[in-house]
Amino acid sequence: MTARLTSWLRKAARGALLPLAVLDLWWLAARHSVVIPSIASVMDVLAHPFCEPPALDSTSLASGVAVSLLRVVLGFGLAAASGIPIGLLIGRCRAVNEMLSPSIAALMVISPVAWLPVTILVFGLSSPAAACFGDNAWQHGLLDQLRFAVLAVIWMSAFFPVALNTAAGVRGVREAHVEAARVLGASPGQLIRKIILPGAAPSILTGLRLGAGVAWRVIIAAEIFPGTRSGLGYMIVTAQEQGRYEYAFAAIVIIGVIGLALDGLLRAAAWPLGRWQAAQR
Amino acid sequence: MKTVAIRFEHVGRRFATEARGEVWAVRDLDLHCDAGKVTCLVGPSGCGKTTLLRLAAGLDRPTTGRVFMNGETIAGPTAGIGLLSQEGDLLPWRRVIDNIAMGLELRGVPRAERHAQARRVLEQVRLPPEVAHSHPHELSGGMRQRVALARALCHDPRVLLMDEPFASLDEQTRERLHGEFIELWQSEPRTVLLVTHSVEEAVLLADRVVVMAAGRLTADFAVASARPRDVFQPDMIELLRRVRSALKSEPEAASSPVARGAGRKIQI
Ligand SMILES: Nc1ncnc2c1ncn2[C@@H]1O[C@H](COP(=O)(O)OP(=O)(O)OP(=O)(O)O)[C@@H](O)[C@H]1O
Ligand SMILES: [Mg+2]
Repeated sequence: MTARLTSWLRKAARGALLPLAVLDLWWLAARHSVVIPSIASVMDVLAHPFCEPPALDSTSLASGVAVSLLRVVLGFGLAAASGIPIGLLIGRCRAVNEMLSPSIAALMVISPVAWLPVTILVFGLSSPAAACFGDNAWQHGLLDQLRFAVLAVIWMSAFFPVALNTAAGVRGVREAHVEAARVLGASPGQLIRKIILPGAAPSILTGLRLGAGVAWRVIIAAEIFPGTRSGLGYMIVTAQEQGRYEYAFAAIVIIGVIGLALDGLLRAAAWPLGRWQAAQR
Repeated sequence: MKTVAIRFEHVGRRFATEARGEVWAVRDLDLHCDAGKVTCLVGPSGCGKTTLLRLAAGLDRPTTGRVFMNGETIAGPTAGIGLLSQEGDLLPWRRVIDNIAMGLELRGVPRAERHAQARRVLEQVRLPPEVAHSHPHELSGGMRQRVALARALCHDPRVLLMDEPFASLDEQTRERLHGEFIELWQSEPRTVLLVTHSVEEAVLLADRVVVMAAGRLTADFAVASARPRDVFQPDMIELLRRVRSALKSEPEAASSPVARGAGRKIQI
């Protein structure tokens, strides 16, 4: 017991070494500079997430988090809902694979943020709120902030990892498993539900994790782009413009924490699959 | 009880391979497996045994000829077949009991009912009940083999196709499973087509031993001795000798160019 505790402590201490060094440097730098915000001022921003500083368009940290997170959840949800079926088709049908692969390979190399001008051209400033409530959209602040243009960019950033990993997982399903089910009388639909999807599940979950990670990185970049007026990325640019760097730093800390939490969540979802997967190798 | 017979009529199966060109795995083969009897197929590696079994299971179509199950042409996997494949193919993400009950699940049998049936079959193949909730990777090779047998039996098929089911087991386990297999079969005679490399296994289990070489049948022996049998019985020794010499008399021609050429001629 004590041996395990000391080994755990040693591991934790080694892991903490670098962050502590960074904090130390930050503290030193803040003491000798007037622009670099002090650790205390950043902690103060983090401690009052609902405070609405007039310098920053009166948007609070909490509302920035809510807008960014909601954009990612919706965009990523759409990507998962479309990427898994399309990945399934790519993995199972040669014709679909041959039709889509070149386009996907080409689109993959373009940073999703580059599409923002295009999606703004297509969707304009319309939002889910505008779609539902028309001219009264502004009354539904949060929904109005989502903007289809931004959602489309998030969808695009998460779609490829999800679809391609699904396709790879589907191709990796052992033919012997498919045949075993066919002999037992499986219909094509049953084959997909009971063999293909469970067999590809580890790879699909990897795709979801990658997709969520990319989406979270892209949303911040997209919000820094002119045209969006809310979210954590927007908070970072305005903080820079106003010289209120403590808000930018606080936003960065929050971005890291939420990114880790998202990944942890999807990792936890994949955990039950780890056992048989490890045994297969 | 209704039993089903398998009939192969002028069956050939050609594969296009990259390295060896066209290969006839099975060629112009006729075989009738009697209903309710155990037919054992022996032959050297690569002579087409697995190919023949896959044709009977409906997993593959013959290039020439036809395969009948109970008088009807096989067009795809049909209900009423249990297949034990050569490599393990249990689903690793399913517990043993859900692997065994898979056939019933696909037919829409309610969970409680199919689990009860799966537990009965688990007992028939002599596995302890606590194995039911293990995953396949937690079992030994022999236990996995029994689970695969249980899965093939669970939906009560009339025909059992077995591809070297006992090949990867140690001698003792194999002997025990032989005994259990025969008991199971005697309690409910199904039509069995069993593939094996082992002449002894064939002679011990079969009502009929069929020798295959290079995609063709080369010899056919009826085995009348009462079960349980013993390889040291005089009639068994004699039969063993004859089957062995039948196997030896045929050169391993499956992959020889001459044999392949002959196969092509039949096709054209
Ligand atoms: N899908 C395939 N594609 C190409 N060739 C194949 C295919 N399946 C089988 N063959 C060829 O057909 C021949 C017979 O193969 P088969 O698997 O039926 O042999 P087998 O008698 O079961 O051998 P073993 O005892 O080693 O299992 C071999 O030459 C093999 O290479
Ligand atoms: Mg074989």
